[in-house]
Amino acid sequence: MAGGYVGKILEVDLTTKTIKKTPLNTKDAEIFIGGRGLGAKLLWDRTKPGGSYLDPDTPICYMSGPLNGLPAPGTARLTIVTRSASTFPKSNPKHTGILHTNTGGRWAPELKFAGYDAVIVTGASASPVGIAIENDDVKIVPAGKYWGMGNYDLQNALDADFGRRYQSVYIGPAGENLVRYANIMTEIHHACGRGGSGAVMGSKKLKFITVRGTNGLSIDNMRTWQTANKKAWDEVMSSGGYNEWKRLGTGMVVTGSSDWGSEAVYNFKEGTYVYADEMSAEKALRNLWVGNHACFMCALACLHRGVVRTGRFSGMTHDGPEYEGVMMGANCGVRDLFGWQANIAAADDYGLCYISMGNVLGFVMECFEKGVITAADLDGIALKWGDVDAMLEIQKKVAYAEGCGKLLGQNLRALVAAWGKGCGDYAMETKGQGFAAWNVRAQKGFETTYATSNRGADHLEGADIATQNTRVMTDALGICLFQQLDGLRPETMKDLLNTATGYRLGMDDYWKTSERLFTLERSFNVREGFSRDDDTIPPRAFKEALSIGAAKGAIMNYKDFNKLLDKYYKDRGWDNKGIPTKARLRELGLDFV
Amino acid sequence: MIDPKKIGKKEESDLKEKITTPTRRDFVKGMAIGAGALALSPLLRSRAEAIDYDTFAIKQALRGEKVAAGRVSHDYRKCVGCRVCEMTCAYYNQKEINPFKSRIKIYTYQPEVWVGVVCTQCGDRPCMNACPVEPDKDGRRALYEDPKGRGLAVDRDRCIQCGKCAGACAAQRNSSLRMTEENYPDGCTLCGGDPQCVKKCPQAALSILPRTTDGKYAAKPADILAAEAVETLYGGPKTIVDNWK
Repeated sequence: MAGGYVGKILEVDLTTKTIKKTPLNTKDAEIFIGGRGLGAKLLWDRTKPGGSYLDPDTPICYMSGPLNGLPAPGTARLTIVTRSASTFPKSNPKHTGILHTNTGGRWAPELKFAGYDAVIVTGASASPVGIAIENDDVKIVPAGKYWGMGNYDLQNALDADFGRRYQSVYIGPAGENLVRYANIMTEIHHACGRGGSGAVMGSKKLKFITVRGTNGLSIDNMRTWQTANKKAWDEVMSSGGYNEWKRLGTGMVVTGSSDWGSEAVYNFKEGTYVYADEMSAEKALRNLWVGNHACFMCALACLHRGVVRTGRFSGMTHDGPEYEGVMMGANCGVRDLFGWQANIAAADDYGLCYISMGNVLGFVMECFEKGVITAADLDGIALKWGDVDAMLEIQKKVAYAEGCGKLLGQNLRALVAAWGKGCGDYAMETKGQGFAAWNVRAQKGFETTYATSNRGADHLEGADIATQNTRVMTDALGICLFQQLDGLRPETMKDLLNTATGYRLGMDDYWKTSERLFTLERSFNVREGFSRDDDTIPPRAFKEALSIGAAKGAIMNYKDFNKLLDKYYKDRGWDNKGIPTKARLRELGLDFV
Repeated sequence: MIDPKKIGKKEESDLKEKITTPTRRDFVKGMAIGAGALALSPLLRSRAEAIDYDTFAIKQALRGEKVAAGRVSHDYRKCVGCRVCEMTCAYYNQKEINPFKSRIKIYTYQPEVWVGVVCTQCGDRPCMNACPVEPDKDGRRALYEDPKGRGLAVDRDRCIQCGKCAGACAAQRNSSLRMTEENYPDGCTLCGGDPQCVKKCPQAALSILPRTTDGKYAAKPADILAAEAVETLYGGPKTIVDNWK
């Protein structure tokens, strides 16, 4: 390998308990880059249509990119690619879509230092296991003593048992109990959150993968790399947004989003929250935060470390709030900043995606308010708006699949099917996955990202094609999106890629690669039965206008939305049903689709 | 270098007098030089000359040289765990993109705090004193202080690879001195006098501070530093799990 990649993939089969090290397919690496892109290719190659996310056959791919571990800004990101537990096509609800889910911390770089570009896990163990990797030494270890542990205890146990220089990804009780929005986490607060990857890992009885590496990485051309890298650090650290990222993190928009009318408030009924100030990053800065938290090689340090010093949660340490936490804040009508953090901390401990959990909670609160359900449906819990204690109780039931938690741990469609009474009108999901903390109606971009994201209702994939293409590349490279949002230009990322690996991509090639990766993901979904019928926005956005705030009166209409989709598919080179055409596939080098 | 423990009683009382009874003129002269620590410089200069001891790198400062005889100090209140320091050290000193080769190590503790472990350049040099190799005419054993950068240096020709230096650091201080795969000690050289990690930390969490005569004051093992940090930052290691009990 010239540079960037380390050239090896670790394959572990938990049924046969075999471990294989295979060379990285360099042709595929050049075409699909790494991370999210190469993961999509691996998933395509290793699955047949119609499989379930619970099948032992389903591979779960822990992907690094060529830039992970290199001394460029934000080279921390791990992307896990597998079948989604969250999305399913209307044409066949037994099938599921592709999942790519991404997190920071320090795990992906450590995997590179250990000598692997990726870990692919297949099969399922009969009893709980972990995978321990120390350079060439790879073992499947019994994990009985860890099974059942929450993530706070688990991280400490792994630190004590393996060593503090090991990095670990793991599932909490939610993943063990196959909650459909269970996540995979590292360092307790970094989550591969959306899509239920934790359920896939849990179905394999895989509790953790811990890794330590002591090898160096290489760069193809150090001289040109230094030039590109200097530019990269300058772009990030001299940007206007740098200080804001560090000071407030994504929490900076808790009040901003409310101002714009784009916040998730009361199960997306509104976009402006009159109590946003009580839940803001500014308030957290004054009352909670003691310092910052960064991922590997990141100067933004956008996460925070905090502690509650008064009240009944006194002494509780945690890392919020950051913006998506609004799903358990404004979306649930919460006004108690500390109680909100307690719910975030609980979700982190259980290994629950708090975006999806907050989405379910907000929906259930509205159903409770409207009398669609009563406390009897919730094992006696009266889940009223803003009730942080009731939220904590529900979270526990979901994480352990106890009582009402069994149903709530599935998805909104299951709840709608079980409860009826027209509650489907305010179930905020696309393709089965719940919406995140950005509301629709106020800004067109969010309609695009939620409707067309390959992994279901997703706020991150991108508000338009250019953004989606930019982001599929940062996910393929292993670099954090926030570097790019803070000023790291795609041109510079292309330079980092070329100088590290020896590739010779021009910007045209870079963008063509991005179209290829995004279209491959789309093709996986199409193969499972997804089409335009699944690129939807929920009824609430078309039936109920926002009633307060700057975007008061904003509402969607079907004519405009259909025009939006028409144009989107055309610009992507897909047909009007959202299916990539044969010509377009050939053009993008996806002949095998 | 003269061992401070070997100062005779008479010299010690002489020094004590000199140090504890400054004249007004001495003090004003000291202030004229500038920095707070240097206000004592006429007094400490005599002490420094007497025992050839240079705790604050005063001699270099007086000669107008860049003050390099400090130690890298890590501030857990500012550290965010990004490990740019590790990557910088490993590349600058070993030409490797490999944090394992770094002489500064950042450890993640929960509740979240990052503790940095790096050679504190202990004034009493337990590592060097543990080296069994006979001192040469300049007083240097196989592990010695590099006169230019004032950090650790290894004479690989004379090192017998016994590991006693690293053992002393582990037993008495913070285990920052590591033996390489070839079995030589790999210690903080202060990058020849211009520590790179300090310059590159995006959070300004690293600085050069004075050494202490007895290194034990600064060279605490990571676990102890972490326990103190958790107590100071958070009032103790409580999490949601504890709040629920």
